[in-house]
Amino acid sequence: MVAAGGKPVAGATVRVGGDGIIKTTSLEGLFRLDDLEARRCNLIPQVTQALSVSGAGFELQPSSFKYSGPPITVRLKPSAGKLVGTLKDADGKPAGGAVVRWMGDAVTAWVRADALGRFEIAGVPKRQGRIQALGRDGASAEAAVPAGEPKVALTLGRAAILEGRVTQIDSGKLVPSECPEWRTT
Amino acid sequence: MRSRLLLPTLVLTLGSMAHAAELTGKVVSERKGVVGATLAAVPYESPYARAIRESSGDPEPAPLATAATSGEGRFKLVTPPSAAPFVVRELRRSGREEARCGV
Repeated sequence: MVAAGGKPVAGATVRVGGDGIIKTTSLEGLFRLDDLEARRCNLIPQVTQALSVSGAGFELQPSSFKYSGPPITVRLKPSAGKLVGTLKDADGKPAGGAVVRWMGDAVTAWVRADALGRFEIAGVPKRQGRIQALGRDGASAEAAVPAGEPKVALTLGRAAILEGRVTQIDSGKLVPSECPEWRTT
Repeated sequence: MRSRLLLPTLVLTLGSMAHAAELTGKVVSERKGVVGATLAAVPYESPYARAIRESSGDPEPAPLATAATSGEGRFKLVTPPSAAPFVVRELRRSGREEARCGV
């Protein structure tokens, strides 16, 4: 991982895909992906995989690699760009503690909103993308962000609740459990 | 190399419905048991919990239990009866590689 002039970037993060593993570059700007999940990353030779690379003071950078391919070099561009915004819950109150990230041709790290629901995501490129938010109670939201838009406001939707029973397929009897009910959001 | 890319399959059985603390199963690839694989029961994380952990820079939660497959690819994972919900992953030398089942 290098900046302008080939200077190594230490402490930058490299994420595989949208939710894959995260690695941090060493003092020499080096990183190594050697414990990838085959299924999640769909690792097939000759198939290019997406990387999201970010570092403090740099613009989020998409990159790619091939499984067992040659080492790659990612060049980061300095950036002071940021996306600021506010998050509210479904009742219109500040969604403090919710997390938010920008998604486009790469994804930023998750950022936590403060008690007033305010957040700031650094290094967002001036390209069209989406913003994704998750609340602590399962609420979520996603919205488009036009290229270069510096500010957004988002309201979390309520989480759906799914309730049911677990039964044996052959007899239809309830499956005993230490949990009296199955409930998920 | 080819065998490394084939996705092993976990066949799981709850060893004890009363406690669900013992989980037995089999790791197969091309219908043959995989010997010497390492399985781990890893605490389940919701997307929000995972995002919070990642935003804090914290490492992944430690496995509740690990087990290696023996002959025919069979394994037994034993977790505390009070263990939180977990998922089962196959581990490689340097970390996780495959996740196939949630418990």
